[in-house]
Amino acid sequence: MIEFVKYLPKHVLSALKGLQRHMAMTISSVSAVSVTLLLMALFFVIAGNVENFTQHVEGDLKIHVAIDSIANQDAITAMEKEIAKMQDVAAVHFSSKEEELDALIKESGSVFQRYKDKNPMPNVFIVEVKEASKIPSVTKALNAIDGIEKAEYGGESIQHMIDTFSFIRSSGFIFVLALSLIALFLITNTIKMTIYTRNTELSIMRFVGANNAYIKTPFMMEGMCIGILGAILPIALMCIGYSTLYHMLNGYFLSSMFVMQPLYPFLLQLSAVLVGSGALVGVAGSFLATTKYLRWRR
Amino acid sequence: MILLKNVSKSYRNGVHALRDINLEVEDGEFVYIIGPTGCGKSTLIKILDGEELPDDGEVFVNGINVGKLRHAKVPLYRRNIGVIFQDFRLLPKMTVFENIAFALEVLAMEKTAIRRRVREVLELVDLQDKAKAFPEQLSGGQQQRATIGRAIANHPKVLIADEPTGNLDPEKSIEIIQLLDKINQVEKTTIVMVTHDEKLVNAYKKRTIALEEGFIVADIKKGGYIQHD
Repeated sequence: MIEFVKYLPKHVLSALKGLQRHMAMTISSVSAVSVTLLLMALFFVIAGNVENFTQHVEGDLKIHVAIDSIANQDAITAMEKEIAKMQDVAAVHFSSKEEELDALIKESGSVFQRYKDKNPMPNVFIVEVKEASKIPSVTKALNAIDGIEKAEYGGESIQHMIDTFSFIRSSGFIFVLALSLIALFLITNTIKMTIYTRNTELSIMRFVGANNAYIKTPFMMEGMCIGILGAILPIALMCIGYSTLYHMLNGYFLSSMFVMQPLYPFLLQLSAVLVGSGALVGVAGSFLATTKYLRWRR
Repeated sequence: MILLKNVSKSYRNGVHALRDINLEVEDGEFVYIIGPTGCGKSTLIKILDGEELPDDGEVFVNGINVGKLRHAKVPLYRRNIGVIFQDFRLLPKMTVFENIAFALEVLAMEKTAIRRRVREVLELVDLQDKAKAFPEQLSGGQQQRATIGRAIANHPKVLIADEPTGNLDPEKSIEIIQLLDKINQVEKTTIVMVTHDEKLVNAYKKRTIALEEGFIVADIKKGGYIQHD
């Protein structure tokens, strides 16, 4: 270990020298890494945003419960307690008919001002559920309660959207995972090729008395550098591309329901993931390739 | 000292490269190993430098049982011997200076000590003016001298040379053999040199061991190439 630390600066130096003196191979592996990382970044952005959309839409999902107009204050309080006790219910808010009318006026314009004297709005509960998928069953249960006129939510279409989103989200993450594995394989292979072209170098090093760790370390550093260099281009493209898109669309995708991931910290996380996976894959690739070669060479 | 006891080696394809070899080389000796192609010379070298393991028998170099070396220990063993190849095997992307220095860097020597020793070696092999050249910029003779420089840099007790003059013209071959002779005299290094250069063996007479089909067929202390029927 002490030996490793002592040699570290030398290894870094020889790794940089190796990269510089095998320029063609460096460029080819760096571009292979870049392409795969770019694909990975693309899917990361898509999956990250779909995740955000879903959370947003799900957060907006509330059940609107209209209370029978004959219910008095005591009955309302009792009902509120009953609903709050229900499984799957996260929160209950009471909103009086006056508040409802104010909200309507605010949303739809002053035409509704004339209803001020004869308010047609019911008193309501706004019920939030713990999970979006529980909305239909909770609504059904609410409808069964005495003193409730009608419980409603966005309807089937919202439910479909949530299902679709959760499908995109889960399949997106599976896709990213699969893509990362492919990237690992591709990069490992490219680095293997660069090392195989240098296998005489490895055997000569062994002949002069370098032990395996001493031979491997600079190669692993080279792999790490290749991974990090390969991450630069995708990061730059993603940062520019995503922020341009974000500003162009004012942070909303198609409609106000789809809020895009804000630039910070999303791009920072993305960059960290790309640099990290690039470096990791580079090191792993070099390690596998050199180990494999050194094992069958005495 | 190099000691081989009843060493046999065959390859998977059925070739018996060495059969029951017994050989003793004293410290400071200069030995030629000669024989026709396929007689087992290269296998003998590979067994001596730890690249191949013998099927039977024991191999000792400087008291180390080379036949029982574990994979990870092979490089450590090689720090005590020098190996010279017919095809030079210099690191192509390193200069002559770096190539020689590399053999010392793996020994964890101090930087200044490495520089001093590399300059010494470069002077010994007469390559002072080529220190910054890459191997491909050198002639065959110069590359071989660089290889020899690398092999002797860490003062090995034993120097193993596998056809060091194989790729060189006669004039350059004599240069190399004179250099090896000088190293043998000055550094008291034991040298085992495989060759089939008849002229060289006759001109610079040393103990000569002849191999044929895996057997030692002659061990001539006073030297000279044996004639075949």
